Amino acid sequence: MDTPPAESAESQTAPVNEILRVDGISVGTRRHRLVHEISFTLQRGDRVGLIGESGCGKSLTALSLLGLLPEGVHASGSAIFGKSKLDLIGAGEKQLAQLRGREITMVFQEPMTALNPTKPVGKQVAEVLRIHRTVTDRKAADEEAVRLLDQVRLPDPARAARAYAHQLSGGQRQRVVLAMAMANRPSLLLCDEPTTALDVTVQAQMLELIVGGVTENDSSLLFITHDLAVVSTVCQRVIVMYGGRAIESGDIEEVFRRPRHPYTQGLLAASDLSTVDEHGKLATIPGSVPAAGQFPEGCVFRNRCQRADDTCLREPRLTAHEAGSVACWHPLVGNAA
Amino acid sequence: MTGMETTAERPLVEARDVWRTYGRKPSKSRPRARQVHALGGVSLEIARGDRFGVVGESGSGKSTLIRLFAGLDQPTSGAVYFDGQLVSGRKERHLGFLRRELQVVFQDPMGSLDPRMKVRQIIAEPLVATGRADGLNRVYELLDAVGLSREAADRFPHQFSGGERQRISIARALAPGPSVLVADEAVSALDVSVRAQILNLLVDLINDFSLTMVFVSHDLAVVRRVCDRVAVLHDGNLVEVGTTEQIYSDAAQPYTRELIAAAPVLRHVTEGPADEVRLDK
Repeated sequence: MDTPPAESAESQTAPVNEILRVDGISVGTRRHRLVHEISFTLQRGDRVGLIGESGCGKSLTALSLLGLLPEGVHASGSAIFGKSKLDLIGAGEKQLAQLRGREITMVFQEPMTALNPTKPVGKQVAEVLRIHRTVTDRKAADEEAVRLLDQVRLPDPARAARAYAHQLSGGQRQRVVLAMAMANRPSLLLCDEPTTALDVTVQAQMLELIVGGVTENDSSLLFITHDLAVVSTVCQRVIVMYGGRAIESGDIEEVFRRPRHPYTQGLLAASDLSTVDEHGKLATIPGSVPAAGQFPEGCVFRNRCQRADDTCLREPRLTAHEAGSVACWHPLVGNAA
Repeated sequence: MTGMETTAERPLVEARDVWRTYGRKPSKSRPRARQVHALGGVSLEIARGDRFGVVGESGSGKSTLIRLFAGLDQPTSGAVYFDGQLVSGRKERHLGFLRRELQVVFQDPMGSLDPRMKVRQIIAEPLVATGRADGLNRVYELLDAVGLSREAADRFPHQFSGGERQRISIARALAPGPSVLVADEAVSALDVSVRAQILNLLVDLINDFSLTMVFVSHDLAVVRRVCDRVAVLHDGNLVEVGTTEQIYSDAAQPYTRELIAAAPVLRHVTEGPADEVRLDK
């Protein structure tokens, strides 16, 4: 068989519920390091959010897990996946192709580019089943595709299955992509800004479907977004990224109620449009996110941080505290005002 | 409305039973023709000094409506007025007054700034187009107003971040000294930390230059922050118009309530027991 090596005695004693153990993933080009040593683990059923502004390395982190990094961008570190203990970083294309679309699936932001414009969407859902031989019979696969489209609540799924991507609305297309991602009951679902292009009412339905599908299949979810309100409705844990680093992580309520990193606090304050200061101003983070390779030495947030001093010339490590982790020399612990 | 009213009472921007229809009616020779009403009879009045929000989902007719306000498109029927003057149906060469008075900031600054033009040329273009030639000093004045340094004048759009590019778009829109600023999803493509900066800037500029603003967005939280009146569009129809206060706390229409309820909120996580809220220092 083409499955990776048989499990050793050790791996059977290891927690079976661990879906993914990411250890020190770095991503970069020859000239710039874009993601610096990200580590996290996903247990079965975990829903983890990866949040941060554009250019912070969220998407690269996810793409590195699927071996889908763009030309000239390389990953190092390790990401041990599931029972097979396969290291996704550095795994061969053949091994990754076995996993992609079956064990690990992804929903991208733009459904139009994720779907084939020349093929009815039902056929595309069926294809995912047949490629991985989940369903071998053509007719059975087509029927299963209709059932999957019904599951993502596409109205009149039999008719929708015969439609081409351009005949569907943005929300409907994204449901088709989700149906494809869920078709083989993956153990890990990656979502990269899946609802950013959608209207609020459609977004609400889509988020419900994602959480519902993940719960039903007992999959783990890695959910990438810049929208804190969205992540708070979907995830249990959150990793905040800035400048290619994980700068804070923990349970979502802990991180959002008692942010320790000044960037997390700034992001939360800037997202809150309902409060203004005495001059009627919204809270902002001074400056803007630097371009790749332009981040300061030491703490990457140093040049935008009001708490920064000479200590911050050295890079802070992501350090565990009683309720999560933070990478900051001057954390807002318990928020001493 | 009659011509007897004073300027103070006359709406600055007005749509009267505006329809915009695409396609054509099915007929014997074209039985499969389809007609789509992007706008189906919308009437609106925006007074001088209003901060007027237009919200709705994609396909609701928001963009069509502001294209009609800006004279970039013609209604199928109905009329659009600016300060009492007819806009709809007029030739571009008779719309000079509108180009001076009403300017638009678009969603995607990269798509609306010419990559081959320097910032000084971009900002000065409306001045040249409207026959004014106070040149570089005016450009510097505008860069100051939007919080960019003067060195920005000699750089190209790609050398700026998304937020800075949006500042350039705003400077260009302000160049002819308009009385109405139309923002079409002007902060939708920006990062969270930058979005707040641009919203603060817009509010400042509106106060400093006594502008009337038409703010179009799908993001209800943003509209709530910056607008004092709101119109809700759905499928080309005006669902309701009211003060921000009234629309958000006590909307008359079920659709509006549905829209507001669907928007995800952060508060349920950040606000636990009251003493645990520590967003501010």
